[in-house]
Amino acid sequence: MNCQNFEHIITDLARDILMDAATREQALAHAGDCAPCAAHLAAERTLSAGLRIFALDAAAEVAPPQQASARIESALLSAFRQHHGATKRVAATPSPESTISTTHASTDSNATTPHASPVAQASPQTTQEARSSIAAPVSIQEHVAASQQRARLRQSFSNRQSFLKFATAAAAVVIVALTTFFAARTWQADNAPTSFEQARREATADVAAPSAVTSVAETFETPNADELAAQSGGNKSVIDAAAAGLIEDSSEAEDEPRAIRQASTASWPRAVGTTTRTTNSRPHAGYSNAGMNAVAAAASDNRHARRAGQSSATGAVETEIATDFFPLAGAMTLRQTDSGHVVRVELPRSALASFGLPVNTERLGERVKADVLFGDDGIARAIRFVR
Amino acid sequence: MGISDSPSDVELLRLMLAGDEDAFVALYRRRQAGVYRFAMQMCGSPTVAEDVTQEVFIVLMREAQKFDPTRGSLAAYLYGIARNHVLRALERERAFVPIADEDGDAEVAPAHEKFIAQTDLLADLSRNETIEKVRQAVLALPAHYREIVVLCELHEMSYTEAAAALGCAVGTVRSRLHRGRAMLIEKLRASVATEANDDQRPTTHTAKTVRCFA
Repeated sequence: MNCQNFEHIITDLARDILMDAATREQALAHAGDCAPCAAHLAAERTLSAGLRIFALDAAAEVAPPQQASARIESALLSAFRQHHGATKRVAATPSPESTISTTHASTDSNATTPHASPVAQASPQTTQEARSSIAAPVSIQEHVAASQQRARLRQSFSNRQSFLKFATAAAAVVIVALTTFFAARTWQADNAPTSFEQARREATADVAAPSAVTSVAETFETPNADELAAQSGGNKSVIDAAAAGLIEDSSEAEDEPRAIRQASTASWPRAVGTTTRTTNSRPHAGYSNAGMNAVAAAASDNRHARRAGQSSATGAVETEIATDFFPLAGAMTLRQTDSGHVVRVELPRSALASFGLPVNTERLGERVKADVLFGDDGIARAIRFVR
Repeated sequence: MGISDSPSDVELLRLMLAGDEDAFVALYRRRQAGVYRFAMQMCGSPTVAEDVTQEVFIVLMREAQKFDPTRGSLAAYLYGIARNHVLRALERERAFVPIADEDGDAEVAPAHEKFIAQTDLLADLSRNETIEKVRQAVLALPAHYREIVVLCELHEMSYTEAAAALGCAVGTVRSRLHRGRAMLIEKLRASVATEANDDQRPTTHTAKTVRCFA
């Protein structure tokens, strides 16, 4: 072995590390022959001895102070509890009470506890540290208090979970009950015969009670036949027919000979229903057919509303088809009116021909319904036919 | 109760990961002294050593799942964490620490030239003086040599365990230990020689204490 090879193994040789026996013998033989290598080996061994002394001294004395160790342990426990929100305990771990008794016993007899036994058997130094840590009353009290607090937290958590389960079940029952109640109400509203019969009785009462009908009927000043004749400008047949219809309707109100009961009277049950206007593309020069329609619509709003109420009550739906309003003769020269009244009359079917509408000769003897539009001044302005 | 009855580090770590507080306490009480000593021998400051000890176990608490038993023991894992924190602390406080080592990190002369006609290194020193000299010499080593010396010489770790703790190769550990020991011999010799000169010339400058932290 030369000096270079000796240099490679001198550290292990000085530290008494296990090595090949032949190599060790060769190295020692070289050190016996080479003074510098021998001096180097001696220095290395001296260093190893000094380091060993230092290590023993450090192991015996250099340890965290008791207070510092307890403080660090407390801080670490707090961090551990924060890290593990719900601390789990192993079943084999002694309970806090057993830990207390064991700890007190070990303190009295200066013996190691099961908790400290791993530490005690690891090394004498750690045994001393473990004893000092276990003997520290602050650490024990903190540990026990923490264990009791954890137990209380677990109990509280269990109670909270039970309450949450109960609250969830109660909420589910309430939701089911409410759903069933509303479903039953909806089914009754849609299918219950009692409601339908009640609605029918109400509708019948409306029809049978003249006072009720009067309260909602559209009343207006009825023009007499002469005025109608004068205002219609020669369309005598129409006016006569209209006057006949008005008189016919007004006969039901004896106290008010000039008033006409209209709309949903007992003698006019067919008026119940919706009104559908047919579109007439014929222009009427000088007169706003749309305006008349608007006035007529405004005038018949109340009547339609009443009819719609009766329709919803009876459930019967009849479609009423009406033509556009045809201006009467002379109405072109009158001022336009913003409001007016519509009077339902019956006319001979021949009156259709007067306005250029086709007439079925076979049904010539029948009567047709018509709405006559009167302005605010009581003058007839237009007429439409209704089927 | 025999040693075999005590749970191993890995078993305690497994229980700790499951949230067992007692396992964590047991693990702390078993390993805190070694970690504290390592930090103390590396930096020489009790305050820093306490902080490092606390940090090591906090890291263990949070990153215990990173521990791989196949790569080394739990002690080596803890020493590795402590070493990182110590180096960080040394880096933080480097600006406040005057290094009064005249030799510094100067190249170590070849061994043959150093040990020729040299007397026994610590022959004339008492035990306490020897401990103090060695302690100061260790603290004067560069950190990457110091950690190897502390682990292998003061904590009696094997090369493999030290390599696992420091995250380096076994050959690196061996070479650094060899060089670190050589530097220690030089420092001790220089310290002893300075003290001998002080004894001969009491009016000269006092021996310089080389420490990282006062």
